[in-house]
Amino acid sequence: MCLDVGGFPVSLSSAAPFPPETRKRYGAFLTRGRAKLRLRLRSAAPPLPGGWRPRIRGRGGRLCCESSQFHLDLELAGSGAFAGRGRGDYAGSPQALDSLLRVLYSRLLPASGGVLLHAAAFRRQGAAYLFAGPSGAGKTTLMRKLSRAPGVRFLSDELVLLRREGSALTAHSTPFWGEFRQPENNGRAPLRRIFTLARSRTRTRIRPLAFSRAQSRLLRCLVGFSDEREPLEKGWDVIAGAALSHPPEELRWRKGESAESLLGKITGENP
Amino acid sequence: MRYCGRLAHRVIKGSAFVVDPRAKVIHSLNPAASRIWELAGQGLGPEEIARVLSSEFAVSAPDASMPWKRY
Repeated sequence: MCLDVGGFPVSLSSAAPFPPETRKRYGAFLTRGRAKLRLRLRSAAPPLPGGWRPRIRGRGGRLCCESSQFHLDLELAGSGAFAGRGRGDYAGSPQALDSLLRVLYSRLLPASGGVLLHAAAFRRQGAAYLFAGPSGAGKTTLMRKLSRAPGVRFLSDELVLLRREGSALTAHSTPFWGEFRQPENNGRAPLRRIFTLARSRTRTRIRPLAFSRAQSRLLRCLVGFSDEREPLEKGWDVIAGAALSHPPEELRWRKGESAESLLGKITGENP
Repeated sequence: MRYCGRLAHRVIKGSAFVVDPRAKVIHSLNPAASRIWELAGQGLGPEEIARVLSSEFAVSAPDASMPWKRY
């Protein structure tokens, strides 16, 4: 099968069929196109030799990604290209495959001008609104609420792929959901506003963030399983570019506020 | 002087940010520290950096070199 997340396709093959849930999970992201990144995987009995936390080691164009759920040896076609060949094992479950794909995308995207961010996002009137925040910040709750508002198309409640496309930044859906599962969703839109997310007990308010604080908050939301400096700096360049062109704001939102009122404040239609 | 190889860093809008990917720690440097970081990246030694700082931040060269002596 060939999976395309944010315009970065990867071909996955295996002698044994992938778990049946896989096609459902990635259905909206499957493509008939050909990928320059091709992985040959085997289902193996868990746990694999790695630890629970994924580790990535690399030298030159070779990478080794491993955890207790998978082991993957990659030979990349060149720096800056989402291309190459890989061979490895995964623990046979949809979760193991998902974990492998998250690690793969988070490691390879920065060299191609993309990043995975811990963020929720929706699209409205052709523009994307992105909400960066760690677990517990309220991404899923906010998306559940806003998806009921007219004209809103949900992009993600967990991981958003942000990429440079020419001079524009585009937010893409990913199949890496949180709890708000909408597998039929695969959308994209040029970025309009970036928020960092926090809860408020009293009232919803939006305030600008100092650049250094915005950098720190966004960097903490960068998905990176690697300890390597170079992919981090390249991902950082994407984030810094986003923060310079779309100065991040803090959204402190009250759970009891209506979706319409919240949406008006976020989009600026009804501040 | 040179940077520690494992640290990721960027100077953006005059402010330096340093990240230790292993420790997952982000340091946002103040203007003087950002300038020191920048000058160190250009290969300047402690005395030269102190001289530049004393001219740019209106402090005497001995004062500017105090942090080096302390650390």
